[in-house]
Amino acid sequence: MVAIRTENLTKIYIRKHLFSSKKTSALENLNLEIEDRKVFGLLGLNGSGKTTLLKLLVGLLFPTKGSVYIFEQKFPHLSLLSRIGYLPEFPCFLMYLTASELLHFYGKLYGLSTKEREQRVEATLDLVDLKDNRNDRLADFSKGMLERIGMAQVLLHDPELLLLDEPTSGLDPLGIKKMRQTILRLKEEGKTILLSSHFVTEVERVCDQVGILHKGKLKKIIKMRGLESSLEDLFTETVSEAV
Amino acid sequence: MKKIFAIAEYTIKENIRHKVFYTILLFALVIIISSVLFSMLSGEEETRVILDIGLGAIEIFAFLSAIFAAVGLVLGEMENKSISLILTRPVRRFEYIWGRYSGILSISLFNILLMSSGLLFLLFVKGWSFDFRFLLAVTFIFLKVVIISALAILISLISTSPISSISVTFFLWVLGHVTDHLKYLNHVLLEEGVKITIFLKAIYYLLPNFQYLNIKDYIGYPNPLVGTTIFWQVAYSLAYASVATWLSVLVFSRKEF
Repeated sequence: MVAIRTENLTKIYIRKHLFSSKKTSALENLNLEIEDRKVFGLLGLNGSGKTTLLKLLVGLLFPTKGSVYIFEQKFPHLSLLSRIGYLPEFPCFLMYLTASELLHFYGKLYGLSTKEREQRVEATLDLVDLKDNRNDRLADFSKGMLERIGMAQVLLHDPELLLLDEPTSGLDPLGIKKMRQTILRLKEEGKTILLSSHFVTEVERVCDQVGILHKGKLKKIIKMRGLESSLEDLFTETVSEAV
Repeated sequence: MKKIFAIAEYTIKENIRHKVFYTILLFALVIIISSVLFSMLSGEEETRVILDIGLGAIEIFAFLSAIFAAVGLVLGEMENKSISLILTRPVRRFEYIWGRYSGILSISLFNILLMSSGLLFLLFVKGWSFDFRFLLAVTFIFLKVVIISALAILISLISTSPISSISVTFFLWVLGHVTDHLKYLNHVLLEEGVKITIFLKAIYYLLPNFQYLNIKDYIGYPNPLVGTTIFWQVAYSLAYASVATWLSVLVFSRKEF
C-alpha cells in the first residue's frame, strides 16, 4: 500500500506588503510516492522545501495546487490525523504543563478514554525515559528532555505514519544515537516514517529510500539497498548539477 | 464536544498558572476593599459609594483578565508555534476557537463571582439591604465580557502583535460605551450640512453597544427593569458574541502555521 502520494503538489508563499506582494515558490509540482512500512528520507539544503512538504502533509499549510493522499485517502481528512504522528523541527510545548498533563491533553484530543490515556501516557513516558519526570513542568526540562517529550507526543497514539522534521538537529551525540535507535525500532514495528534532514550520514543509516529536494523540486529518488556510490557524493552531485 | 472541553480545560489551567491572573485579582480585591475608605467620606451614601466603586472595579478587572487571556494566550500560542502541535491532531479549527473561548469565559465567570462575593460581603457588613438588581448587574458585566472576549479573539487573529490587539480591543471597549453619542454626532453634523448618516449608522450598528448593558447604573434608583428589555439585552449579547466567534472561526480556518 502507498502511505503517502502527492500529485503536482505546489506551494507558493505570498507575502503581502502595503502596495505589492512577493511570491516565493517553496514546492513545485511535487509527485512523490512513499510505500508503507518504509523509512523515507528527505534530503535537502536549508530552504529546499522539506519543512513545507511536511507541513502540507499535516494540514498546517494549504497547497497552492495539487493534492495529497495519505493511505489512499485524500487529505485533509480529520480521521487521517489520528494515524499520523508529527514532530516539528523546533517543537514548542505548553510549558506550564507537566509532562503527564501535556500527554493527557493531547490524548484527549485523540478522543482516548481515561483508561486508555493513562495506559498510553505511562507507556510512552517509559519509552522515552521520562517516567520519573512525569510531574515536572516542561518549563524546567532540559533541551534533551524536551526532545524526548517531543518524541513521546509523536508516539502517544501509536500512529502508523510518522513525520519527523529534522529529528536529530540540536541533539548531542548520545541523543542522536538514541533517536537513531528509536527510528530503527519503529521501522521494525512496521511504521512508515518520513524524515527530513540535511545530515546525509544519519539518513544513510536508517532510510530505505531517499529523495533529494532542491529549490522546491524533487531531483532524485534513491533506493538505499544495493547503492554502490556514497549517498553524500550523490547528494552533492545532484545539488551541484541543479545550481 | 469533548475536544472543546479539553481545550477549555487547558485554557483554564494556563490562566491560573500565570502570575498576571493573580495580580489582576489582587488589585481588584484591593480596590473593592478600599471602597470602604472612600465610603466613609460620603456621609449617608456609604453603601452607594461601595457599590459604585465595587461594581466598576469588577467590570474593569474582568475586562482586563479577559483581554489578557484572549490576546495573551491565543496570540501567544500562535507566535510560539505551540499551536501546531494541537492542530496536527484530529481537532477541527472551530473546536479550537470555541474551546479557547469557553475556557476564557469560564475563568472570567470565576473571577467575576469571586470579586462579587467580596463586594457582597462588604456591603452586608455595612448593613446594605439586598437588591436583586445587584445580581443582574453582575450578570450584565459578564455579558459585556462575553462580547469583548469574542472580539479580542477575533482581533488577535487578524492583528500581528499583542500590543496592537490590546490597543484595538481597548479602543472598542471605550467606543462601545459611547455609541449613543454617535447618534448625537449625526444630528449635529446634519445641522451643519455634513451628510455621513450611512457611515455613522454603520459604525453605530457594528460597534458593540455596552451602554445598552449597563444595568449597574440603575441599582439604588427607582428605575424598574422590564423583563422583555432584559431578554433583548441578553439576546443581543449572545448574538453579537456568536457572530464575532464565527468570524474568528472563518479567519482561523484560513490561517497557515
